[in-house]
Amino acid sequence: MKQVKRYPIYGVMAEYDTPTQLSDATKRAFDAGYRVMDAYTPYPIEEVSEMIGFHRKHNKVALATLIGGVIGGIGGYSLASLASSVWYPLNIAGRPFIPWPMYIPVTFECTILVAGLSCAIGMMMMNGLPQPYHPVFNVESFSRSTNDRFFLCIESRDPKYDEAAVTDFLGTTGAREVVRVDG
Amino acid sequence: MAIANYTLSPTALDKQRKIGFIAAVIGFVLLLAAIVMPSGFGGTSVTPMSQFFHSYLLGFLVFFGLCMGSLGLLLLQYLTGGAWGIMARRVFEAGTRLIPIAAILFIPVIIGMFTNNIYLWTNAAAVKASPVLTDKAGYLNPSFWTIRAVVFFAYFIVIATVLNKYARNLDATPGFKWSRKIENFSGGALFFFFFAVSFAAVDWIMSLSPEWYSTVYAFFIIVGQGILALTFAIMVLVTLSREEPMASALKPGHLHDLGKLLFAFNFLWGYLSFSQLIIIYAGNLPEEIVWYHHRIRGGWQYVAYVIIFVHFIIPFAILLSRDIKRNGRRLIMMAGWLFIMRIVDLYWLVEPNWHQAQFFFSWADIAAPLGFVGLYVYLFVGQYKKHAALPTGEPELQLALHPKGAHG
Repeated sequence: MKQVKRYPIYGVMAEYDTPTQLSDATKRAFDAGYRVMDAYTPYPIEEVSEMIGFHRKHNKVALATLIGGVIGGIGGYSLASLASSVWYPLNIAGRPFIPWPMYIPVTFECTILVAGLSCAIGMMMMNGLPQPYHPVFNVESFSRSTNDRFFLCIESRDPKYDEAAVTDFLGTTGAREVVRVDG
Repeated sequence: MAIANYTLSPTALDKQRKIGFIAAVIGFVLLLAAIVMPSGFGGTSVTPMSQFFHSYLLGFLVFFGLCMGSLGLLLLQYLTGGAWGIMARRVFEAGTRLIPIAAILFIPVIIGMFTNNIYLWTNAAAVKASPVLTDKAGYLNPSFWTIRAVVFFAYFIVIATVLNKYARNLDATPGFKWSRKIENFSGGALFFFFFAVSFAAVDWIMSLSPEWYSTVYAFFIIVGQGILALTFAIMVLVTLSREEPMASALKPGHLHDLGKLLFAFNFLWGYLSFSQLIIIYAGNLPEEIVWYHHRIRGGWQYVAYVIIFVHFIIPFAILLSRDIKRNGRRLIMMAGWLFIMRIVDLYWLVEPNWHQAQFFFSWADIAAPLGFVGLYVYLFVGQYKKHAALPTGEPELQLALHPKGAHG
């Protein structure tokens, strides 16, 4: 379980009625230079993850998957070839001692297996789940984020963070309510 | 969003059309020149006349692959729906209107077959010497083969005509009435389409090695045709997106979907080709393995290495990247790359049949694909510009044009 570093103030959160308002506000916040922010929605909205810069922030899950895949591929090929070509060479119907086409299915399966596992495990390690406490729960209306409201939170870890400025900025984005989130 | 009619500018693709015309002229002149003079070097040479028909068959298969890939993907996108299909539909549709031309271009292949220049099973002495070919003669004989070809083309032309007619009706009366009709028609048509293309692939390509057989062969030929048509559509769409109306219609999301499809088709092609190899390699039976022996010895192995790495492994690694799939300039390069590799793969499937022991190079094998691709581009642009660039009557068009590139 990852320990979230506690800040006295977690950030400033804005509440929106519609996904369109949320994605417009997110785009404006990104363009205004805010980077450390997160959006909370009742259902996945693909364009919002685009707009908080999720893919631009060097999402390391992809890297973990790639490394896992490469390790799995090398491992799978080694498993097959070391066992039946090096340590105990088998002569099967006069084929070469390294019948590489026969090793490809094992290599492929191990690549997918290890890549998939490193993707899932890497994702869990990097997003901090499972996480029973989160500062955003301190906002009373946040419970509706699983129902019919859309939230954007600019966090105090952001280098550009200034509570008054962020509050003013979010106030101009058509938010229903802008509140400070205690850590 | 205002309803636009997505009419292309009158000069759109004119440059490409001109290049296509020049390529067609150069290609066909060189191909015809191969009749009168020896065109190749290395290995066992064949008569110039035979070489002409071999190269012609290779070029025809590229043209035919573009038409069939277009027809298959057109049927597929009507069935599955999705924004990528709506964006690329007109490209595929124009491709299907060239099937009658492909039928005309097939006539020299029939002549080559009757004059005993292409297929081994037309050679009476060879059939007599081989018990296998004698047994297959009931199926593989010139007249039945020709009748089958006529039936395949008739079927392709009929479904292409119906699809185009329905599409015009959809333009005239927008809404779900005609779009549902096309969907229902596509389901049945796609079912028989696979049979027809499979038999055509067996008849025209696999029967070049008449004693050999592989059950997965027709399927990877079909997938290869899909790659050809998809890469062609990507090239057309990205080229058009440099100016209006496609500049604002084509979103990174659409390119992403097309790129993912290209990745999937390329992977499927590699997977099927490898399945054939591993089964034959594991069985190691003389009548099956000989097909690979002709293709991995005497210089042909370098062509095979190029195909493994440049057609499969390197594009596989590159197309994993999300950014490359979303960037038109990079995706068009990948499309062009795989388009050329499809021709190399067809070359490797077809040409070693006549030069089994030793690699043989003929410039007619470059001239023929050049001429046929040029001709296809030239005719395609003419057909494509007859109608708006996007299906304006399609009820889901506005959804597909949504900024995020809906997956609908």
